[in-house]
Amino acid sequence: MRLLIATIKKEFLQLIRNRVLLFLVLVCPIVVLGLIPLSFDGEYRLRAGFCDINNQMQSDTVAERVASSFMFDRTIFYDNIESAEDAMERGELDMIFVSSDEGYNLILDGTFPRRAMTSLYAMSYEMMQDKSPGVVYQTLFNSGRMYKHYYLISLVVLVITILGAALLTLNIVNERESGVEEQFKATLMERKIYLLGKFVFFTIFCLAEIIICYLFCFFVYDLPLKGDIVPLFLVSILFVFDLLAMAMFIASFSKTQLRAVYILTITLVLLIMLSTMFSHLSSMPAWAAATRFINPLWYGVESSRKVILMGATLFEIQGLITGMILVSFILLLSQITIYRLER
Amino acid sequence: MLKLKRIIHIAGKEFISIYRDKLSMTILILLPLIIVGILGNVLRFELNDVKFAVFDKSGSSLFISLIQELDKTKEFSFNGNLNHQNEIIPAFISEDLKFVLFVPENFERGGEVNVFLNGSDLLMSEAVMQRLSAHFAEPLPFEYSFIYNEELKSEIEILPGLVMIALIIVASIMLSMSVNRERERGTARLLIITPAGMNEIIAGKSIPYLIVSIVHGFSVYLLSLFMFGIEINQGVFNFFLLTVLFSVATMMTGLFIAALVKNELELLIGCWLFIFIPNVFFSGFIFPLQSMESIITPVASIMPGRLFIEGYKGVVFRLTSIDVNAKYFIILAFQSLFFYAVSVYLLKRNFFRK
Repeated sequence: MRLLIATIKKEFLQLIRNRVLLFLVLVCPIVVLGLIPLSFDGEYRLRAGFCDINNQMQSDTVAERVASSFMFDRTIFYDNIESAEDAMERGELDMIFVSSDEGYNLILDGTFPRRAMTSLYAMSYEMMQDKSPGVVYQTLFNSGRMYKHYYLISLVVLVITILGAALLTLNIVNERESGVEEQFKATLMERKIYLLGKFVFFTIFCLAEIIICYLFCFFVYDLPLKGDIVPLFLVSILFVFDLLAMAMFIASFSKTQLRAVYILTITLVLLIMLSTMFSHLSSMPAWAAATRFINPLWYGVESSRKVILMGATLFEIQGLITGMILVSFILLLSQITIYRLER
Repeated sequence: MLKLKRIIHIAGKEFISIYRDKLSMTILILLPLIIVGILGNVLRFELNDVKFAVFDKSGSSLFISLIQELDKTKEFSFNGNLNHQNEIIPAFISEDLKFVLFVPENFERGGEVNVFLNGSDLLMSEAVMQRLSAHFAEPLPFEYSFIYNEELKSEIEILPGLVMIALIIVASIMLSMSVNRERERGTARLLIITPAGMNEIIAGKSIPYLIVSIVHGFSVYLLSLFMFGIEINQGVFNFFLLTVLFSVATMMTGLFIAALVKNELELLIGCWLFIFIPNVFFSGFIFPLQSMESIITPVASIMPGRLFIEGYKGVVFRLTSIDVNAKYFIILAFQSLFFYAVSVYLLKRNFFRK
């Protein structure tokens, strides 16, 4: 126990004595959470070009509606369709509304399909107003219609992933590469205590970071905690276990820091993109969606969203909790196997 | 004056150090292919098999046929019936439903159908609402067509962003790691006794990684052609020019971070937090530039990632001429020069210190 505490203390001193690293791990998550949410506010701000080919001013009524619509930001009139297409070619328009003797025609920029579909919806909404009579839409779990909340949780998980995985992996590999690990072999400390000390320290560190990040989100963005604090704490700690177990696993077969950086980068990019942080599970092919069961980041994002945004109880997320425990167990077991093989 | 011979010698040394670490070299070469090849086939932002449930109190045959119609579409997938109103909220949590259709008893006598949307993901719920509105609506009063992507293929949306991510990760990390390793291991002190100056060292170290970036550009070009059927044709020169300028700009940004930090750990975290994350979010890859808050739009519009994505769309999809894309090329070149100058200034002060 004394050796374990000494290892934890060593890691702590190592972190606080490196001022650049301390700045990066304490201040930067707040900077990221402060700046990145500015990249989405939920507004469409569509840009429409109008072109009345026969100068019969048929599109005037539509243009007036569009100009006053909350979905549109800009309406520009063009004398001919070529100049409107030139503007679209320069990326200045999302759609061109053409009015001619044959009727109305809407040309949409297909290079951004999501925005093209929104443009189509917005234009049809403005032209038809009540599009679907007899249907009423109600939004659950987000009465304040806050767009940022869903992605704030993704950002918290992203920041913890980068910091936790990078710190632990490179910490182990750096000590191996510089010969510090070899020197520890000449001391009383066993390797399992050495690794356990690191694991415990970085678990505490990641949990502290999670608390800082969520406090920032609660106070600055009014992120509501609909569930209880106990499930949130439990899923956070299990996510951290999964993440650090993965980081140790990567460190166990990386001989140099350069290799560790490459392997970590490729692993994290794939895990981040497949974790539904910014996309949806239903949009993926079945095999890709199935990878979520071994993806620590998916568990982190999904369980936190369910507890924070939807008020899920422990019973309702028992499947996720079981999955997280299994992933930790498998990764740590692999780590122990590698350790024994090395011995 | 820069001596070409010295630059070539340093470039040769760097080539050898890349070549001798076979595993790192393999990862380095394959990384863009893995990112673009795997994620290009997996990552989609379109609605597909979105799960919904129905709480039907009417038992109307008209509504049953409507559900069958919805279930047949690519976008929606019927998950089952709910028997009680209290089951709606738990079903959203445990079944991962995106919406529930509530049909009142008086549906056939004009009662309104309630659509309960999962508002925790508001963007998704709005997309669902848009599709459902289109499904329930009368025919549109206009014809519509899509330009530059007539079939509205969803890979067109993600490909520029993935290429950007692949290039930015490799370019920003490669050169900066190489510079940082020299300093961390103390081999930078050996360079002080050579006649090479800082400009020559940086230029010599950059050349091999620039060549690797061009190889990445070429592999991404072939992958786009054979895997996604995207032909670049007359825009090939512009595409490679854009790739080179973007790679150099991100390399120099990475170099700038390398000049500020001391070891590889700080460098990796710095590159992820200050290069990767801002470029992914502010480039228009996940959220369009127009949906960003006005305070950040000026910064986002000159982000290298955004310049690359807009340039890529112009060159590859819209087939625009070089004068339309010139602004992106010029800004990228200017950013490269700026970060190069600042990095060299900083490295002159701290490169030879361990």
